[in-house]
Amino acid sequence: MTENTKAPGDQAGSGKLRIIIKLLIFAALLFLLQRLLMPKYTGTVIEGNFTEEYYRDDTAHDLIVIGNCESYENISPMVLFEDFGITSYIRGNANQLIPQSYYILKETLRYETPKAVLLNIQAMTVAEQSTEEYNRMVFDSMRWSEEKLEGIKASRLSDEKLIEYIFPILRYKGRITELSSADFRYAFLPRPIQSYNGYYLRADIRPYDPEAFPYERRREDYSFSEKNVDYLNRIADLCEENGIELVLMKAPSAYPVWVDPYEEQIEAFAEERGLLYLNTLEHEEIGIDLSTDTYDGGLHLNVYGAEKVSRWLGPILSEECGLPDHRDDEELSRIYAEKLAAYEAEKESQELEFEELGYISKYRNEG
Amino acid sequence: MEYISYSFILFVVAGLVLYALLPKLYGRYVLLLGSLLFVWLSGGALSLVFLCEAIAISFFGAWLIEKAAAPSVRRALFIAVLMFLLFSLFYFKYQNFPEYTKQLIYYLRGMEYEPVLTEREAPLGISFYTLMLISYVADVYRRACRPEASLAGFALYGSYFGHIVQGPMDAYEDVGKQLSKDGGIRYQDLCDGALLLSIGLFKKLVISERLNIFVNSVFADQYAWHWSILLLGAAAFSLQLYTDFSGCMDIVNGVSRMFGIRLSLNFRQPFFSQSISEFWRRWHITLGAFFRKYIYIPLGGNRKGSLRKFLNTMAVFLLSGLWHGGNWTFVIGTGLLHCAYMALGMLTKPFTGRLLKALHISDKSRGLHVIRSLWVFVLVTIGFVFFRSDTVASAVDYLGGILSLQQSAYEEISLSYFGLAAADIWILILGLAALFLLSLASEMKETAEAADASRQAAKQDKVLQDKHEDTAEASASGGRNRAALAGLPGPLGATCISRKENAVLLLLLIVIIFGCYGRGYDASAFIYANF
Repeated sequence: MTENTKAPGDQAGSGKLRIIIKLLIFAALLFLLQRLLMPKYTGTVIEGNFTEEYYRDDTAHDLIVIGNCESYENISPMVLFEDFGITSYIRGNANQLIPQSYYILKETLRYETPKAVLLNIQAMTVAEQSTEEYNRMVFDSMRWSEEKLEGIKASRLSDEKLIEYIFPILRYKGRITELSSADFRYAFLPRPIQSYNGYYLRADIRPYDPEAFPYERRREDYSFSEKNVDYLNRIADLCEENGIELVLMKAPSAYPVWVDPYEEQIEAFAEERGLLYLNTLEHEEIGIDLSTDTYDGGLHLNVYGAEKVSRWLGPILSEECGLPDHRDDEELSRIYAEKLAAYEAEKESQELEFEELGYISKYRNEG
Repeated sequence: MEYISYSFILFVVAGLVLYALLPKLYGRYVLLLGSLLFVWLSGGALSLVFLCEAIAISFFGAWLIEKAAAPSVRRALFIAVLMFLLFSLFYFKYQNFPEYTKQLIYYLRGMEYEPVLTEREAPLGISFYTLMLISYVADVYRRACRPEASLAGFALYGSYFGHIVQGPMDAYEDVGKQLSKDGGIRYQDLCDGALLLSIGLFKKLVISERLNIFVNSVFADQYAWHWSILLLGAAAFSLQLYTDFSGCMDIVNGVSRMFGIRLSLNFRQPFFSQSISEFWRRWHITLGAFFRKYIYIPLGGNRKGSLRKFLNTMAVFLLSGLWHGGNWTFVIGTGLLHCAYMALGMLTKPFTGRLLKALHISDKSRGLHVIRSLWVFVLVTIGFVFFRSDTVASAVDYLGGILSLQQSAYEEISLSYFGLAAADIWILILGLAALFLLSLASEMKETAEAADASRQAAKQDKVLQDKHEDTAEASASGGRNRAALAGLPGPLGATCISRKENAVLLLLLIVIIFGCYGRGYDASAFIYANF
């Protein structure tokens, strides 16, 4: 054998190495592209950041709020701390279904065990997901775990593929032609925090307008779906097993209409499981004024409405769930002071902009 | 399970792992069980039952034909098997033909008729496996081949997942024996197969599915578009059909190659054809070969005068059109119209020859080749308008819209009307350009090889005279097989393995990013899978 000739074994070895290197480069390229193509939610729709932002909050929370938009737009954790010293975080997403809330809660318990969980029960009326985007906003930035896998399986649409959640590039490849500077900037860098402990701050006002909503058709059967009831029971069981106080809440929105049969089913469930149920629609003392406290004509509350709800809710939660006042805790006070400053600054900025323009420019083109 | 699906990827990977790990002797059983599973998952239990029935009848029928001594008994048995196979095909595929015929007659009389259609879900691949099984039984009847001894081996030929959905219609003598060979995987095959598969995915997902968006928009609103859009839509459909069908062939050839199996070649740069007859030797080659071998030649071919040749050609085209489906759009679009082209071609050949001579244009001129190819493309595209349309009337209207220079019903149009973005147009232009260059390279390579082969044949004639007959025969036979089986296009076949690996990874990356698949697309549907 001459110096330049390799033994067959060496050639086979170098061949395997070559293939492995190429496959690694291929996988790295795909990973890079995937990071680039994933939506960054820095435009008018910021809710897609909420699941991920929770992992970036290092503090423990005595209260975890879970649910759909009625949770993350109607309660302000900043006010709960400022006025009552309650540490809280909202793990809510747009149109988050009850099964999704169950898996989000279960995942939360991997990181912390709160003293109380406040579940917004409006999602009990939603049997199936309406569009893929909502599912994506819940799961895309959720860390991989058994809960994520089960959550996707429990709530995906019939034409959604599990593999497209495992490799999101298969779903988002079409974005290649619509990439923005934010996609490049935040491909690997963390995106700016958009929420205030999961709360979606809106300081604009669009008064309640009954004409703005479609006529609510009467249904033959108002029973919650079996699946939702099953997952509601699972949420209650999970809280019970972990010694967590579960509170059910209906937020003060004008639409979708919360009809009596829904109320009766929730009341019966709360009674059966011995849970506290708060229907804000029945508490005028909260002081919600839909001519000033909503930013979209009564569907969701703005910051003024959310603060009113929080001020009403704080004493109840402190008393009924025994949530302690942490305002004496130096470290927590420092952290929350920073958050509150940012919260107030954003609120003020939006107020000024709304006063000047009549709208908030970053939400101008929301769908 | 469709070829374009995540479950098919899983199916192939699982099959390859089993094929590689199990003793080589079990390779054919892995393929057989995999193929039966594929038919069941893709077409349901009914497809599996009909397929098994057809395979059993063909297998035992061929043996009975082989054993029968008397020619009349052989003939009777052959006809019986043929009738059985054709009965299922007719039952499922032509139940609506009388209604479509009635509709055509009404149309020709200037009236309208809404056909009353009967919906029957045909077993998966029935048009394809029926012809393959008929070719096998006919070959045994003609004593062109010996019947297969093993039922499992024959069942694999009849059910093989790589050719059952939309071909290629492999002849038993070419592919059947390959399927029954021992298993085991070679890296070279794996790499070549992956490259073919990637090319197929590129054609289907990057080009064909994108064209499909445009074509659907144009044909759905054909009375509203400007004639130039109709023209573009028709040309786009020809390209869509080609990239869809040949893309599927590349996919199945690629997957088969990974298992060490080479299926028959079904496409050979059809849009470089110089005439309609050449087009049919380059487009859906295995279907053309079937009709030539089992219809045209037994009817006398071109040996019995011009009129008889024309009638034989017409019979072949009529059957070929009918094979595509029991609707006159197919019979005209892929059958009778082409027959008319060929008849006109034969009639005008002396005049065109004289004209070229008078204009001092050489028959080998490149410019003339380009013009002829474009002319064939135009003629074929006219046929494809019938093929794409629901009725003969709408096809005639579509073509009439182009010829009458139809004006647009819209004041302004934009790409979004067709469901496309500017980026899609660029992807299409670049994709089609890449495909054209690859086809051109393949064409040039084949032309050079054909010239080499004819020089070689001339040399061999000399050698044969020197009594070295055995070598020449083996070479000729080998050459025929190589030409009949699918391989990597153009210069890719001779490329080193490392470059092939690079090409596979690059193509897969392009397909993943620019492919039209997933939600919002129906990428799993292939046009020819309906036949």
